[in-house]
Amino acid sequence: MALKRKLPLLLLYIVPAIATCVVSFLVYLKFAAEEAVIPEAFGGQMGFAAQMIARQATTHLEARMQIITFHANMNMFSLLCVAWYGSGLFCDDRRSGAFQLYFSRPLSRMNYFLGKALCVGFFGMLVSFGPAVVIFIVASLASPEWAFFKQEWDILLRALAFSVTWLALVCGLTLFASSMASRKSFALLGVFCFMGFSVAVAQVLGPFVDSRLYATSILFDMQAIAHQIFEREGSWRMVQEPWLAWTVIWSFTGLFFSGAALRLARLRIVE
Amino acid sequence: MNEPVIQLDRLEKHFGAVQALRGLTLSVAPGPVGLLGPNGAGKSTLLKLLLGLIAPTGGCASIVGFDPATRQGRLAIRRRVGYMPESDSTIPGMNAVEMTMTLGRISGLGAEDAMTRAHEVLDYVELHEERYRDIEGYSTGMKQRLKLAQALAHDPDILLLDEPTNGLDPKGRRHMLELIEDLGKNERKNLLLCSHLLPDIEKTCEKVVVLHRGSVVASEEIENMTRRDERWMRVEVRSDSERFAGELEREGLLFEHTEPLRFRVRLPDANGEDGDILFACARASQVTLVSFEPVHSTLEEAFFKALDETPSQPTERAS
Repeated sequence: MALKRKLPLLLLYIVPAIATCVVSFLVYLKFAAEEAVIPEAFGGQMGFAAQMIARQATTHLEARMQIITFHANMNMFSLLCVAWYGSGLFCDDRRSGAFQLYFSRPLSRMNYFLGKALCVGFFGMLVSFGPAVVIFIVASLASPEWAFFKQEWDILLRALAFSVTWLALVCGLTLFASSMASRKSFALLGVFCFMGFSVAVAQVLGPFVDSRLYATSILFDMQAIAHQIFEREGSWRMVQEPWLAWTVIWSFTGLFFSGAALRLARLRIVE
Repeated sequence: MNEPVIQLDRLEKHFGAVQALRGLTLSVAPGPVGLLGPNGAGKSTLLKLLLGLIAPTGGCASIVGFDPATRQGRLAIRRRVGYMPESDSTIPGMNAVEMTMTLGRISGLGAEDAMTRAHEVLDYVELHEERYRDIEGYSTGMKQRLKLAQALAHDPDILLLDEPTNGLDPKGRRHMLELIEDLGKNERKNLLLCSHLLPDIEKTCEKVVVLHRGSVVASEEIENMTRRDERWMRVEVRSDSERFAGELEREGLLFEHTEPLRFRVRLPDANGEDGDILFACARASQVTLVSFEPVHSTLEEAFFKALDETPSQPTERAS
């Protein structure tokens, strides 16, 4: 029912879906080239272009890094999806008087809140974690004797940990914005303004006051967390102390969820 | 089954210094009951208490056998109560079928049962092809009928209807009242109809509870309430109404000269059956009595009378 009218949401999912297909194919091609197996897709023969792609994939493509990089790049799409879908969850219900219908039924405010949070989290996971799962499965199936699965099984858990951390923050922010705003558009604006504002504050305070203040930026913090979770040695990041990044992220997450829950608890159902 | 569906025992609710309900003791019998009261009487507060949305400050309540003070009681009550809110209430992004089905499922129905029931209640309120359209395009009348449908979806033991004819045109209002009357009198649904429109209550309910300043000032059958004023008589004379009025005044009777040859006279007797004094006045003024009969006051008159008879009490609680 929810998907039926969510054309913009479907459009948001098309890009990650296409990108997932492309990367999955490249991963498959890499393993196939390594095994000198001609993919069925080429009809049993490889043309010149396909040979070039396979050679490039063998040389430059590392499936693990592909998953990590792709996963990191999907952050912004998951933010877009969660913000678009979730920004109206509370404020639209308030404007339409739906609370009177919900809470005159055996539905507690906690269950209502959890239902909304899990729903928006699910849609976020589809974009954030789903592609990683697909590419992982393709790599595992394509690798000889499940070598990729046996050697890199931890990448899925790391991707899950990163997705949960990122989506908890984004869902909390979105639900908080929705609980505060009177309209969906205001909530949406609030989400992106907060993200931009946090980066702006970090860019101002970081270089001139203290480099640890780069941690005020959500995106810089997630960069540091990704560095730690995926063990990306040598990659550049603004926040040098991972513990600081974790503290800031989970503090904001707790703040947003608490704020949204408090707003809901104080709601006057029947005027 | 004649056990009260709602029982309140010295129920109190105050918001800071303002006492919204003061020692409300009431038993609401099965069947259609009207809840009347001016603004600020405590009707909305009582509804919130009955739904378990707020907790009472004192006293206790029982709705369909459950106590709203406990969490289990509140959930049990909401499974058994159907609520039709006064203000516009819809779930955004859905049509009538989806909304009714979703709310039915939240009330505990299975998916298939909720769908079946949704179509049944939408048929009952006469939302036909419109049920598949987005609710945002509905007229006021359609939205009101949809609100009634969602209140009926889970076949509740008791319906709480808050101003069900709000915003409706005369045709829509008549249709809504017919539905409610059918629910109360034919389907024998227990319902509590909260309205400030006295004719609505008179048409659809058998009993009425009048609230004023957080207290119950009247709670009885509508028939009894409107029959109470039998001390008032409607009197018609053939001529010389001025002489008759003068004689009534000499006898010390309270009367109103309503039309040129018609009066409303309040007899001194308690039971109102003794009209001898009217004959005496007619004889003394040499006026011919055409007719006299007891006045059955409307509910509106009884309502205002009940409010007037209530001792004036401050609404704020003494600190």
